[in-house]
Amino acid sequence: MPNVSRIIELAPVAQYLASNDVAKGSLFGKPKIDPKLPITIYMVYKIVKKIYDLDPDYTGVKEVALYLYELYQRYAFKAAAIVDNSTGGQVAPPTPGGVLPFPYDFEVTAISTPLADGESSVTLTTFIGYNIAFNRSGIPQSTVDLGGSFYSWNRITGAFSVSPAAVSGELFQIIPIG
Amino acid sequence: MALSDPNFTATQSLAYNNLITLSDTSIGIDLTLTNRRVYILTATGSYLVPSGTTTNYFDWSYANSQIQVDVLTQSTAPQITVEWYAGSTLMYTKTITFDFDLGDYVFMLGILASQTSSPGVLQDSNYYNSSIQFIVNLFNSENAIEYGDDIWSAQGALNANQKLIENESFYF
Repeated sequence: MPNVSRIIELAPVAQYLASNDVAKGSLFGKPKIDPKLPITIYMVYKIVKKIYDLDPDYTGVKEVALYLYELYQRYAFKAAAIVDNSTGGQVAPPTPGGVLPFPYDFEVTAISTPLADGESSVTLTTFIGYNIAFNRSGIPQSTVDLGGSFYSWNRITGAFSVSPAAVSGELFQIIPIG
Repeated sequence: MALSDPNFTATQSLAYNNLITLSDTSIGIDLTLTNRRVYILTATGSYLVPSGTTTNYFDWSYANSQIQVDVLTQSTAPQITVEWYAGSTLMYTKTITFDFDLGDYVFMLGILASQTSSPGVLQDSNYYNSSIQFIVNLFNSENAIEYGDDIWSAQGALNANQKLIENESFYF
């Protein structure tokens, strides 16, 4: 399940994907998609985004964001591929000698992406197929849990998680290394 | 020395939608300034002032870069004018239109949160139509301010939403 910021990020693309499906259903016989779905997605997205941008911890934001995700879940994978500038469809392994994706290099804040304050897991679709290196406030992190901080990375699914959770003010560097 | 760009911002509180915070964002320094006056003009021609204020404006001491006032009773699209004074002499003026509609967003978030426990309510045409109307009014009010500085059209849209809010049990 993506986090709230990711849900909001994908919603506009999912909306027009739903619109396309509605149009195809109208053109080619019995509609299979609720014709109200695109507008419903936009309606929920507009409310959630406005309040999330002002206060990510506002009561009710996460629940309504999850509802938004449920509305467009069938389009989530394709929307993610479009948002992350890939060609869509099946995710292919990187071509040897190809250009690596840009690393994530950011300060953790209440609204930072891909991880915000208090969050500990996210799906990094652009890094699928790659190994990564993760530095936390300048300290290289290990995948081995020795009781301190560590991280986990699944290059097949793109699942990335950190322990402990991200804290505001930390410098996170997530670097694909081939 | 003078203010090269007298300016200010006004933001509405998400937690307390009746509160507005004004911040002086002027560029430059003018050591002669002593006070500011703030006029919050609504589309109906009335002025919003804190309770107990007998004038159309309220004072904002130049010693404070920010001031928070309790003036809103519903979503409002006002025209705010700030005047900078050196004693009794008017030195600078800045007027900006705003769209304080967070109360409507908070209301709609509550409606959506309730809806997630009974998703079938979307099939109720009255509920769905009212929700869409609400969003369209929000969209219209924001566009009226952003692209036209039109507080009258914006307030008309917000007033339409206020009717939906006050009759929630009928429309949703």
